[in-house]
Amino acid sequence: MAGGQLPRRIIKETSRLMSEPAPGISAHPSEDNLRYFNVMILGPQQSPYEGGIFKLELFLPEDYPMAAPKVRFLTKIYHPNIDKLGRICLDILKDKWSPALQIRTVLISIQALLSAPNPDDPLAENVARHWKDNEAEAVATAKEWTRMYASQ
Amino acid sequence: MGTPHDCGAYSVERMMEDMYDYDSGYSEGEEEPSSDEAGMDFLDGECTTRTHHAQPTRWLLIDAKKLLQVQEEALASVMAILGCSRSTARSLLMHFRWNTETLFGMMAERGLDDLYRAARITSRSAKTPLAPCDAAELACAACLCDVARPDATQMACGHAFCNDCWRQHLAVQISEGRSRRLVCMGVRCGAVCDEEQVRQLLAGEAALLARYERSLLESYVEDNAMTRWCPSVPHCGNAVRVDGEPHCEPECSCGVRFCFSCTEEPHSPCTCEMWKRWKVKCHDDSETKNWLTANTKACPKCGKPVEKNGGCNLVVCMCGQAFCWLCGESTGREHTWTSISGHSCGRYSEETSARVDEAQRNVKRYTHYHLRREAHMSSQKLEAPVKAKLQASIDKLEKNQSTLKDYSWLSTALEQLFHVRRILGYSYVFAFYMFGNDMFREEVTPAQNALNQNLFEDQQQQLEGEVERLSMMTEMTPDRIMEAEDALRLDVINSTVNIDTRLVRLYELLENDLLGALTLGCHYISPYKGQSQLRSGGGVHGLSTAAVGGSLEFPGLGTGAGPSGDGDPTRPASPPVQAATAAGVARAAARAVPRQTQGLGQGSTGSGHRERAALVPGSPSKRMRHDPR
Ligand SMILES: [Zn+2]
Ligand SMILES: [Zn+2]
Ligand SMILES: [Zn+2]
Ligand SMILES: [Zn+2]
Ligand SMILES: [Zn+2]
Ligand SMILES: [Zn+2]
Ligand SMILES: [Zn+2]
Repeated sequence: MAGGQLPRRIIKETSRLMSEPAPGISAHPSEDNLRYFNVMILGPQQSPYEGGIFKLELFLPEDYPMAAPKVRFLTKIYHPNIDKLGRICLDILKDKWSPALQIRTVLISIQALLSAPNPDDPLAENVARHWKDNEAEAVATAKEWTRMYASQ
Repeated sequence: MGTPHDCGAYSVERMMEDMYDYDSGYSEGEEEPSSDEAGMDFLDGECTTRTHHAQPTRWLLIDAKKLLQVQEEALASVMAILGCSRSTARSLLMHFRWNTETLFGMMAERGLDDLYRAARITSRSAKTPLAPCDAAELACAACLCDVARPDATQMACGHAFCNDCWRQHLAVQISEGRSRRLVCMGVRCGAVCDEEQVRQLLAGEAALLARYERSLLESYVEDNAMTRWCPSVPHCGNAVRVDGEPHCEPECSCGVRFCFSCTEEPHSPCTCEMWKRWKVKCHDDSETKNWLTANTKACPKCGKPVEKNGGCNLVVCMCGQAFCWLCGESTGREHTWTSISGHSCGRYSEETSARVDEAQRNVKRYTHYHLRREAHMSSQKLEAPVKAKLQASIDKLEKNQSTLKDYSWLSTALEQLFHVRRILGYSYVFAFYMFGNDMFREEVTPAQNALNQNLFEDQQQQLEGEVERLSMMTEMTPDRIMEAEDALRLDVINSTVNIDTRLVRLYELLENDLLGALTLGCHYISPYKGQSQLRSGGGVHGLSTAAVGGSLEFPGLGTGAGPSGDGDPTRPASPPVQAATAAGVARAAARAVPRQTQGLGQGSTGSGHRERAALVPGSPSKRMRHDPR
């Protein structure tokens, strides 16, 4: 992989992301860095995040696709698997990464994580505890945050 | 020597044997361990204390060449029994920390499927090939390109990617230190890549491949509970594998000896925990330590600093005053080894400090034990050059002399002295914690503790007396060796045997009565290995786990007499050295020969030196030179 030259795979992925976007997801490369993507994910229906528009950043490291992309929430979100810096606890972004996965599959997985929070594998310890102790209240907080931070 | 001890006779026999068969004319360097007997050249480090250690401890020195060999053996056995691939065998062995017994045990108990599941190995049957093998092209899911089939590789799990992608993937994994578990690129597959396929893919990348191979090789040591790298700095490249008790102090061929359990310096008879605490304590008290380790002591009479210039703890000032290096107390001019052995300064009296407060008491207590320890350590240091010089002259004498004499009695004594000094030194660390009413407060009543301490100190003191005696006797100039009288020779031998016996007893006390009586938690020390450990250097071949048989006899030696088997040890004018030695050797040889011809598997008693000597015709072994006509 030569330094400045963008691998064919990234070019292919990018054009496909633009031409056939996944529902509720948009990803656009930055103009000055084609490895950096501005991402937006719509809060899934029937989730506490419904109606919210969540901004993320996605970066493809030098080793991509042999190394996982780096993804982070830019919008504040109340979720047991996302910490206050927006870092996401998702196995395919870590040890379960496979070069056969793509930007699209990663973003769909993140969207799915919003529909199905997993407080048993928490990144945000206190949020996860809140979720387990009093789910209704935690969901209400998540809705409140969605309204406060993720609405246009 | 006191009354015959049930195991004392054993020590004598063992020692006599070693004495005569020690020098077979082969230095360790010449005995390059060949790889003929795979995994058989365990060092002669068996445990001979006959206490609670039922299993003899053996260790195997693993150098770079050996590492490959022992690993191959383990891999081969798993591959043969399970009929699996090399990669699978390796993954299984890594999971079971290279312990084939646990591996096969689990297979017998739970079956192959469970075995694979436990090691997280995806067996092929669990997956169906994803890419049809007959297609001319493959759509690589990693680079999103169509590649010709020969430019792609399919792993056993069924996932196929183009070779460029595999190479990039492997490069990243290896550079991130994951060589030992290179997994498939497939989504949520996790199957371990086949080693041969990895090698093929990396054929053009020498550096990467070398790193991969090295990492696989090192796994044998690093993922292995019974193997440790030698802690030498800079690292000698060797590792040591232990079979049986992990509590032992193997010696690497680079000269470094270490505690296998904690890889610190050898510290028996204190436990790893005691040694850990002691080191922290010494570090904290480095100021005191500096002061304590000073090499001089003030003369009790004139106050001038006196330097210790030999291993013996009796020092004499220029003013003529003799005093004890240990306690600084003046002693009479007639301070001989007998009066030193009766000297009671090694005993720390609690009463004298009963009035000082707890904190001060602790400092004093620590100071006492530290001083005693340092005294032995400095004696050992001072004795080292003496020992080296003597050994050199012995070697020279043995080479040049026309009339042959046996000087192994002196070499053995010097070796013994070196080892016992260390043991004595660490025995003070042991005592500091054992009787300190701190580590074992919950388990030992004060009364019992006092009793234990008395028992221990009695033995320690007797041992110290004997050690000083031996130290004094061996403080001789090289030219004195030649005319060393028979009486002195016998004295040295007796003293050496005596020390061995006392050490065995001391360890019995420590292991069985002191540490063995504790109920909360387990406290292990590396056992005393007797005379056999003194020459357990590298390159010794032979399976020597069998204990020395009771049938071996040296008439008259059971009571600790010298090698002149028929002579009365108490009679000063014993037969001439030459004749006495020859008689003893003849007997030793008569016993040794049949065993040698029986070969290695026949429960031989001792070091491979002996076997080696017999197998090489015309070897200049002492036995032959001493042949009595
Ligand atoms: Zn590819
Ligand atoms: Zn696979
Ligand atoms: Zn070493
Ligand atoms: Zn240790
Ligand atoms: Zn003086
Ligand atoms: Zn002396
Ligand atoms: Zn003294």
